[in-house]
Amino acid sequence: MDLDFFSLLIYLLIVVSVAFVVKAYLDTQTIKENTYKNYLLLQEQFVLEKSKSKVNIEKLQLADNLYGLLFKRLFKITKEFLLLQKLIFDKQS
Amino acid sequence: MKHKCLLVILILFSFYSFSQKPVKIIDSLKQVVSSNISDSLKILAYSDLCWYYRNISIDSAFNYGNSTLKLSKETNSKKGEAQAYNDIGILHYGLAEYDKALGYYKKSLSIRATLNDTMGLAALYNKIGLVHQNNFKMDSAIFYATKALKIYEDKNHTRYAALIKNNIANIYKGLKQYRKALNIHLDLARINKGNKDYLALTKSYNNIANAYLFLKDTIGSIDYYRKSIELAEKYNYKKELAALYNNYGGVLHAKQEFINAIEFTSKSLKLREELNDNYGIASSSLHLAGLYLDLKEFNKAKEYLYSGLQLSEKFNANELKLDAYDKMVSYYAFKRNPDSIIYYKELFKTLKDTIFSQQVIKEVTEVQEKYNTAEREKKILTQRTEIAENELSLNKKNTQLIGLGVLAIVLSLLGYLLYNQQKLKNQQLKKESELKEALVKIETQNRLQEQRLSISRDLHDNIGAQLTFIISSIENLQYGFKIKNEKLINKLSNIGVFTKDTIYELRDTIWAMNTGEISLEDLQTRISNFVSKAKVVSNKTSVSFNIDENVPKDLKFSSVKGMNIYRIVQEAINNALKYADAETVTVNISKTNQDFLIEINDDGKGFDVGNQKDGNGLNNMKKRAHDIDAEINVVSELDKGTVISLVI
Repeated sequence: MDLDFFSLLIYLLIVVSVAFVVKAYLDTQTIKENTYKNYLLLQEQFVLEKSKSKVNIEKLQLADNLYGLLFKRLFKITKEFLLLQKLIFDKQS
Repeated sequence: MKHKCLLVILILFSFYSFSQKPVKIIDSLKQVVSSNISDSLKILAYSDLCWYYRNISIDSAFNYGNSTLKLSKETNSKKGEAQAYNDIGILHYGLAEYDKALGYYKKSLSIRATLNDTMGLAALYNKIGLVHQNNFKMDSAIFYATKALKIYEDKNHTRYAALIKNNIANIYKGLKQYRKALNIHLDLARINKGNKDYLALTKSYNNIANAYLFLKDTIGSIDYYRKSIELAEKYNYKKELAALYNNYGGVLHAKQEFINAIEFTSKSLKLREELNDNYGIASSSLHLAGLYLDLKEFNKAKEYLYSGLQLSEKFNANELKLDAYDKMVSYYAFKRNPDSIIYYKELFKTLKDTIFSQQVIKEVTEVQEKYNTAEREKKILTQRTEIAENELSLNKKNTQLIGLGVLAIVLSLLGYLLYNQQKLKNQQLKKESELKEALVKIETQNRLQEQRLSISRDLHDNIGAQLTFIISSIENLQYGFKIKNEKLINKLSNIGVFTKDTIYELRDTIWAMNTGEISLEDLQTRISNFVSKAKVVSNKTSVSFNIDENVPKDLKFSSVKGMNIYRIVQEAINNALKYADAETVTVNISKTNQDFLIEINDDGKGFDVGNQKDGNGLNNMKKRAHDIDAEINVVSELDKGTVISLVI
């Protein structure tokens, strides 16, 4: 089959286009893989940070509870001291 | 019955008629026609009459041909109609009216095609081929002859096939393609030899010898003439033998073997005289005259010359007459008779002019036909070239269109893939950025929380130091000022104990905060420490700690959960020591299905769960259990101890 210039050009373009199609497909696959890896890495980091945050929240909760308890206890100690002071004053008078 | 008898008679008559003279046959056929026979038989008889009248009276032949056609049309006999057209076509062919003949043959052809009469079709193809041959349309002639040949070969009619092949060879001879003609005759000779058809073989050898003569191969020609003569002599084919002797004599004459030439030509003459073949006699006589003239035997030459001339003039055979006049001129030239020379020269010239003018007309017609044929062939060739070019151009366009279509599809696919790629990139970027944003947010939050925790630690250290200072100050007061007042001593002791408890609480919480996760082992150590401190207060109580084998060693709780569990257990043991007056306290940790069970038993005095108002201790335990999504059960009876179960 003898091909003229135009036909030759068309078939050449087809071959080049097919090569581009293959390249585009392979690129897409690579992008998919890389993005998935990055995403997994980020997610891992996120989970880690979340767990860290959870631990911190718990610790802060403990601290808050402690502050409440300390407040009550220090109040009671102060009260006891005041009562002691009163007792001492009563004895001296 | 009568008709059947007549049919049998007619068929028998047809066979018989081959051996009869035409006039007798015609008379017999006329008798058959005049008798009361069926139309179909009458059609057959008319057709036969037409055939036999063809060489006797052409008008009568046409008359019977038309009668056949008329009767066939009236009786709607397609077979008869086809036969009538065929017969009339043959009559026109005999009159050299080739176009008319062709018209009738084609009518017959269309009818026989509908009747599927293959043998009839083959005969017509052969006749149409002959018409084209005479019209110098050699390509058409070969086309139809080949069609006829194919049918005969398919039907295995070797005799007819050989006849057609002979016609084809004649066409090639007419086209001056002697080599092709020779090949066909050689092939025919082989077939005839195979069929043992010696008459046909004799004719084939004669044709081969003639073809060799045209190809200027005298040796080949003589060889086949001899073979042919041998056969004709063996089987006594007189007519063929006469022609062969004459032809062979001609070849010998050309080779100047005069004696042999005279011998064979004389044999030919004798045979032709026996056969009463006047044309042949004239031809052989003139040939002999020529030979004797070359040998300068003028008397003998004169004898044959006059005899040949007389017969030529009698049967108006122009070619022979011309030959005779020419030889007469030579004869009288040798005799030095100028008047006769002039006379025969004049006759020769006049006849030659007549023949020449006829030949010129014929040749002009032939040239015209050939030119027309060539022109037509040229036109056909041009058209074929144009068609081929158009087809090529169309093919190219189709190829281009297909290519463009494929290109469009591939480009669309490429576009789709690129669009898809971009879309995927955008989606991934969006997802990634969202995740990164969330990550940044949580990281910031964590940093903030860590800062808060750091501040808390500093604060705890400070508070711890201050509480230690209070304890130390109280102890200094107690022992430094030697206070005797019992009330004051109790008050100071209570404040000291309370402050120490607060420090323990603070230390426990700091421990929990510094440990990310609390293991079961840590919890056990912590509870053991607490128990050992509690023993200082009450020595009579024994506290045991049991962990079931099912409980995994690496079990860990979050700091809040661990702290709450520790506080619940601490509270339960504390209650058992302080209020229940128990002798034995047991802490059991076990695993049931998916849950953990922590059970604190004591054998103390117990209490009525229904009447007992929940004190601070029990309420705290329930609140802590609720905070860690655990279930707490308190079972107690007076003097039967208490069981506190914590299901996590």
